[in-house]
Amino acid sequence: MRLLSFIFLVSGFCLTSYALADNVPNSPTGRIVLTVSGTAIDAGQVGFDMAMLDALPQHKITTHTPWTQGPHTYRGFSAVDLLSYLGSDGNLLQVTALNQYMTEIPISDFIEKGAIFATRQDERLINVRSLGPIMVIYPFDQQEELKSEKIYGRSIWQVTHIKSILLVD
Amino acid sequence: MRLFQRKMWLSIFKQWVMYGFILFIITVALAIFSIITYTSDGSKNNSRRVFESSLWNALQLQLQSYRFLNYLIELDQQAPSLNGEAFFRYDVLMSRVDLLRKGEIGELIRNFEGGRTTRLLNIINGEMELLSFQLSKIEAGDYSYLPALVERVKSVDTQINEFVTLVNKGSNDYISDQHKTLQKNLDTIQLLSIILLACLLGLGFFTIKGLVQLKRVFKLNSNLNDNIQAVHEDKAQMLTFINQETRPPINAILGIASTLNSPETPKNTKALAKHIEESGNQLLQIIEMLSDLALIDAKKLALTPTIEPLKSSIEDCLILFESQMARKNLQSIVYIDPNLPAFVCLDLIRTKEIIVALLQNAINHTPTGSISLQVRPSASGAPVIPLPAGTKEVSVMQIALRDTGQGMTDELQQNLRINPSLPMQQEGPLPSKVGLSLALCHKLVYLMKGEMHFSCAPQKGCEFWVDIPFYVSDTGPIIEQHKPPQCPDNTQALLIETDAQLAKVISLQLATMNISVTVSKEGSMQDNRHCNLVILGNTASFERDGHDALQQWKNRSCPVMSYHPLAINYSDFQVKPLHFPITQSQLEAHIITLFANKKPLQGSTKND
Repeated sequence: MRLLSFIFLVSGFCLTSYALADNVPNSPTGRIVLTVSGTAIDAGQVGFDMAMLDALPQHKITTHTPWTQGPHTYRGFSAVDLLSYLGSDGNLLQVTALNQYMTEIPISDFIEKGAIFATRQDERLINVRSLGPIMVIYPFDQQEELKSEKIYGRSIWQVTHIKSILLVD
Repeated sequence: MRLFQRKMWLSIFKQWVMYGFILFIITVALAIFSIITYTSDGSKNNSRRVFESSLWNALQLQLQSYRFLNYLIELDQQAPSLNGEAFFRYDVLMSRVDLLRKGEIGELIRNFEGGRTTRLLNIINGEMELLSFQLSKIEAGDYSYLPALVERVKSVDTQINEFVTLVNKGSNDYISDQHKTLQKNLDTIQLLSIILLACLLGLGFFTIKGLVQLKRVFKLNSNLNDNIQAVHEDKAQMLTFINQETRPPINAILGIASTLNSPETPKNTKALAKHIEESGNQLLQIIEMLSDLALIDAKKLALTPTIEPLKSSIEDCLILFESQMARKNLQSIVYIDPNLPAFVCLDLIRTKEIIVALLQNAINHTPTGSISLQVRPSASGAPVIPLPAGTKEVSVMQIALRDTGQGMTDELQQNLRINPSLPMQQEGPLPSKVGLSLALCHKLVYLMKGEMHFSCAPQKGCEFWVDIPFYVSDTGPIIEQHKPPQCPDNTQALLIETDAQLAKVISLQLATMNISVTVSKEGSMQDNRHCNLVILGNTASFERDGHDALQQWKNRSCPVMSYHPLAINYSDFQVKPLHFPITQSQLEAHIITLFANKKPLQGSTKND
């Protein structure tokens, strides 16, 4: 199953990377909110401002979370698109927050479980005091099985850095 | 009535079992519901990791405050502007404060240490909020506010440290409470599980019992169906049997009626009429026997003891068959032991039915010869039965009936040996197996708490012994015994009889009248011994020696009684004729006549 996902992911990368390259600006012009490093990224580390992140395909999730009151609609990008844009073939993300908290998220969570990196909450930018600027959001309301300690542990806030890792079975 | 009461009791018991079962189901349902509830609560409590998050965020607040302080201390004061970096760091710190104040974590922390943590957090938040003015100056490049800002952040450190300590303590207490709650829930779940297990074991037990009971009921049902089928078969057999039994007398009546209706009037109309009467009586008797059998099988036949004269009742039974036996040339005799009371208290109608049945059986199996009936006290003990009013004790009489016939078949004997007092033989012999009269006789004997035994030898005849209990009346005149007439002492009688059975019973009869009997078993008529009476019975030597013998007894003035056909019709000497059945009454009447002028002769019963 994991091998099938990997093949699907690589195929997806190949098909969409050319299209994404045209839309996303080549370099950040504003404040860098996210840095990405890891396998197959030639520059070593790539910085993204909010405009670059907004240029990636956007996805929406409306859900409750354990950290907020009431349902909210979150919008953001998928790790699949991000890695596709960078041409990275990693299958595991090492995500670091502003407080240096770090967690690992399999890329399959973004394909199978529909997780996103949210940059908007109810169409508003998320400030640092509101656990922004980037949060990992899972569709908890749509999939009951996501309400587990394992997934809560992967739902990291104040994301500042992503490292793409390729694990070989 | 008792059966009905038992059913009532059973019904109430079943009702309580039903209530118990409903209660049992409710208990099982409650136990399952409670387990689900407690498990759900336990799961909810167990999944709440808010206390962990509160401690984590408190420590993160302390860590971020140190990082922020470190950032301020290491700040490059030569930079013209910080481009919002200081505020960015400040926001990271404040996001931890916000997390501790809002949501589930905030709600939890509010309950720690009686609100001390909330007060401390509010102080920290207030102090932190005040930093924003100095931060804005630093962001604008005015670093003169930096020392004051550093001092201010340092001053909050004590409160943050105390806050972390209180959150840690509160978290521990919370964890402890949660553990206690979980443990309590677990204990309750364990108890409920034990109850549920016990209930399930009980249910399993009752289910198995129920299945066993169901199996038993199915088996019983199957047996009942078999029994119903057997009843139908028995009914068909019984109807066939009734048809068989009633057909001969009906045919006889119809045959005689046909003869009487013929154009030529038969000469023996009287005999034919007698035959019709006998057949009619036989038919009535069969119907009565069938009715009695049905009543016995239905346990509806009630015995009605009455006080009746024993001797005449028994002798009447034998007289009933006089014609039937005469047609077959059967000789019959009856002896009633004088030791028995003259009057007995028992259901004499049923007793007569027993005797009639035995006699009928004997006649059927005896083509020639004799039938003797003796009634005497039984050696067997009296059964324990309740005494009716007016009686003082229970005694047992034995009715012994012997014939010189062919004997019964082995199958008939086998069926007659059934003892209804044994559990497996309660039904008794079937009429289709032993005949109507014997089946009724057998059932009546055991119904009257008596016993029936018999011995049988092929071509030598059968003997039946039937013990019948009777009540002895406690009223004065009735309990007197029968007293036969007594001849003078040393009265001698010569009995010429080749039939040992007849000889024996006649001897007994004469002995009751103080007459000593010498039996000529070979039938010899050449006996010259002195005797006061001669009884001439069956003998082959009558034609040869009869004339001389009778002349000799005439010369001696010795009275002669006989049932020998040739002797009765002898013209030269008046022979007192005896006819069958030979009863004590018949003999006594002759003896009284013969010895009337010789003392002493007294006796006969007070009630005769």
